[in-house]
Amino acid sequence: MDQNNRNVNTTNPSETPLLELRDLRKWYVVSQGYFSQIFRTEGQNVKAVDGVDLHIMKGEILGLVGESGSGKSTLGELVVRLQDPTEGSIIFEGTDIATLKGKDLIKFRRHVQVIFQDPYATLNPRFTVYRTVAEPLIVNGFRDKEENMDRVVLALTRAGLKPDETLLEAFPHQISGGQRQRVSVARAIVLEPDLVVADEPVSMLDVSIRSGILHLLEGLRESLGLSIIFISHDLSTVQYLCDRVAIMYLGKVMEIGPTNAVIGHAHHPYARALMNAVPVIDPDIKRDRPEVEGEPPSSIELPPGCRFAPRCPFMTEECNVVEPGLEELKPNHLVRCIHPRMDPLWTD
Amino acid sequence: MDLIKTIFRAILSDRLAIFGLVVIILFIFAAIFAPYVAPYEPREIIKDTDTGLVAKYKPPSLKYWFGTDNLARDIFSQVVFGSRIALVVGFLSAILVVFVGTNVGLVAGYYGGRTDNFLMRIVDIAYAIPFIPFAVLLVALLQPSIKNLILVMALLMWRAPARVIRSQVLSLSQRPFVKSARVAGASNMRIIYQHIGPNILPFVFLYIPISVGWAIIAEASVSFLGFGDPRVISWGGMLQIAFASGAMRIAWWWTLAPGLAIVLVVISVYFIGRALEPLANPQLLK
Amino acid sequence: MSKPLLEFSDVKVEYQSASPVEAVGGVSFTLQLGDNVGLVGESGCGKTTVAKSILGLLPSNGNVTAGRIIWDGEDITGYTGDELTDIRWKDIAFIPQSAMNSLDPVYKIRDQIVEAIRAHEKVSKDEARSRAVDLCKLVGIEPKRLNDYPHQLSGGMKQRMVIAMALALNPRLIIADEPTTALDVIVQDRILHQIIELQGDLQFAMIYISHDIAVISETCQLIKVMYAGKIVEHGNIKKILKEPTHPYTMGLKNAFPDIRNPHALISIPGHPPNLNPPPTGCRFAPRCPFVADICSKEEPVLVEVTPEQYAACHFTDQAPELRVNAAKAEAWQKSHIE
Repeated sequence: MDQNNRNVNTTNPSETPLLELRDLRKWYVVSQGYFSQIFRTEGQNVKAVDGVDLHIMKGEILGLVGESGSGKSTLGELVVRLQDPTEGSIIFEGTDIATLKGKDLIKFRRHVQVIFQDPYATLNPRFTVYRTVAEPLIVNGFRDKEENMDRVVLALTRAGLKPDETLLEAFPHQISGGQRQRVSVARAIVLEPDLVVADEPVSMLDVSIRSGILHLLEGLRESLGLSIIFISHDLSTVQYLCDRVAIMYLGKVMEIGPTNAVIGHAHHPYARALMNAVPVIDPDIKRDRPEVEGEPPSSIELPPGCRFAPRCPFMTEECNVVEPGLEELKPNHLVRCIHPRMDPLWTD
Repeated sequence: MDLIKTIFRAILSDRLAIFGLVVIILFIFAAIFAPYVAPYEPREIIKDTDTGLVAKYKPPSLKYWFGTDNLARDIFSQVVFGSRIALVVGFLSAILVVFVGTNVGLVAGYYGGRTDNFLMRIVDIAYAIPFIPFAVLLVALLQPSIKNLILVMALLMWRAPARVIRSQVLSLSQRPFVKSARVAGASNMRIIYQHIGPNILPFVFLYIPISVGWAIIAEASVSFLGFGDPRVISWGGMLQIAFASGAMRIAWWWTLAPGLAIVLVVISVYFIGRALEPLANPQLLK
Repeated sequence: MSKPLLEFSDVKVEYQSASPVEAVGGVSFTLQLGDNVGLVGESGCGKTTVAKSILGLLPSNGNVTAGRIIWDGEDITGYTGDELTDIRWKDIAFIPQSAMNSLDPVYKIRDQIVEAIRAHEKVSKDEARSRAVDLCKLVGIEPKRLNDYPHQLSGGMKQRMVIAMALALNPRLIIADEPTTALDVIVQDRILHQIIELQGDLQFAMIYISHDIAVISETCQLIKVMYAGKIVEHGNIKKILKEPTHPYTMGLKNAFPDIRNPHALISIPGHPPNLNPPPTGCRFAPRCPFVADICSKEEPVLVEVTPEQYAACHFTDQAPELRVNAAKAEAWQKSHIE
């Protein structure tokens, strides 16, 4: 699929997003020493996700990019309610699911599923392929064995596998990494969810089989109308698959917009640094190295003002005063910076 | 189930473990068929047909394979009948210990937080209590019986499997397959017993033989100290009587026989456990 | 042509398990001082095995079963740890994957570098310490960080420390096994840049192992592509990446996304062959879009395609046409079902 077939999102006010995150935060309390507990000084927080506003439409593939410590994986876990948010809302089809519990939470789970990174750890070593894919059905009350078999076979076929008896009875150690990841996809779609959060689904696969999984995900969007949040640190994969991309840094979104606008024309200095850092295959191209200083600070002691300012080559005094908001620079393209760079990224 | 197959393969590939298995099977056989295996009644006072006298303190001979004791009772027969108690106490305790320990480990490791803290503090307390004095105390308060001894084992010895299994469960709970199960909507109970449980089974099977060994030594120790169940014949009890009668230095065969039996069973069970150790290594589970 | 620094002569390495696996099936190459070679391949191709066999780091069930490894004229094939002490770290240094995890968490960095130096050379503690300071500066870290424990340093800094340790004894060859795979892209950029600078200044030979051809393209001048235990293509990196000759290299290029030049990604269907025992004929044949009868019967040998370009394929003369076809997705579509 090349760039021209991009499902570029137009802001259509009449269309409600499938999922909307509003000021979502996840703060972890760092254990306090005895003294601070006695004197009740404020505990320190690791602000893994620190105020994220995001939305995803039906049938859209949204990329979530960031380095380690950016909060992208935590955000993914919040969306599937593997973790509970500290503050903020997660609005799924009109309902805030951030604080759901019990039966309501289980009812919600059918709609949002997850795919993880490590094909070797994502399947229970003691479950056959059949059991792995059938488990979500069993757990959600589908007990009819014949029907379940049909659904499992359908899910495996949709995942690009041949669901013969050998595969159904196989254990994870008997199938390859690529096959395991496909089983993981089958498990995620067997309940026919609306949204799948995929956390680095191809990072641990050999490069020559990655595109198989990427094409698979794209195909599922086409055939099932599936929305996907695709979390990755790898910009080139994100560029290939996603309609829109959000770049995260230290728990907040720095830039978000249509893929081709962000990659290649990024405005935020951090986003541009990321793009410039990606190595180039073509030996004739000599890339400009990213202009970034130092290391990211800890998410406990965030700098005042813009959280990227201390490392930013274009920082001014103003940057350290107030944290900028996400401003819409171009239609559907938002940037959190008071000095966005407007020149194109790559001049070749 | 192919875990059972793996277990047998592990045992059969290790010569010491095969020896252990054979010995245990022999003892089980002896325990079940004791009346047929033992040449005499264990408490029978034997009159030597040749001399017409009571056969006290006879050293081992063809007539009395392990000799006789101070009351002219055949020691071999006592050892054979004693294996019943040893094995019953051994296996029953082992099952209880492993059952309690595994469940505590599963719950503590999966839930973490306060539950884990609470349970692990109880484990710490259990570790702080020395076994023999506690056993003696309990038996003095209640009555000396096999039941109470098994109770004492179950009250304390679960502490070790609990810790080991908890640490396994801690790491397993972080794995993506557990997270996927939660996202699919599985309840905590289901995840603990159906998802994580099968993955810690190797550890469970490892602790069974280990616990059998502990239990047998525990029973022997408590009986030797005089707090055993006087109504049954046990190897520890035999040692206690031998000691109390002051005949330990004269009738060496009297202490050798039950002592040897204890050592044999415990070592056999240890050899089996040793062969099962690699099962706990996930790489070898393939 | 001067004497090669390292010579691999038809080396085979086998891992003993239920049935022996021939992880490296006859690899030959030479290396000169100053050569900068990228060893590229996917999991199971044998690249890490090649590296470990040079340094005697093969696991207990791995053995060099054929061929010779000659370092600076000395035959070191199958040398064990003791025999290699003089060469390891002093002459050949190894940076393993996730090397930052091989730093001992309970010792300060300075102590670890000093220990490494003094384990191989008779120098005083003070001398070793001042060397550690120089090394720190060499990799662009403030010397005061030597006082820290590993957990106080970021991933990138730890990796740079490990590189510094590798350079401590001025080795003539550095073997780096995926040194940047575990790092974020901005940090990776810094480390790559550092390595290129260091190599330019110190002129050591380098074998850089990676699955990422973009990283290799930026860091190395020579490339060796490995598949199923054999080198299938090697030579000048610019020429090979621009005009690959072996279908596997073409397939790899197709599968790599390029952020500046987005193209349709094509995967190579199937998976690498079982190496116990290895198949007859060309090992890539089952997955090759241009497979012919001869491929499964006769194993191709490395032939010169152009000066500085060698490939092991029966159809190297048809490379230009094959390249055109390899760029089309239909050529690679055997079946979508695995």
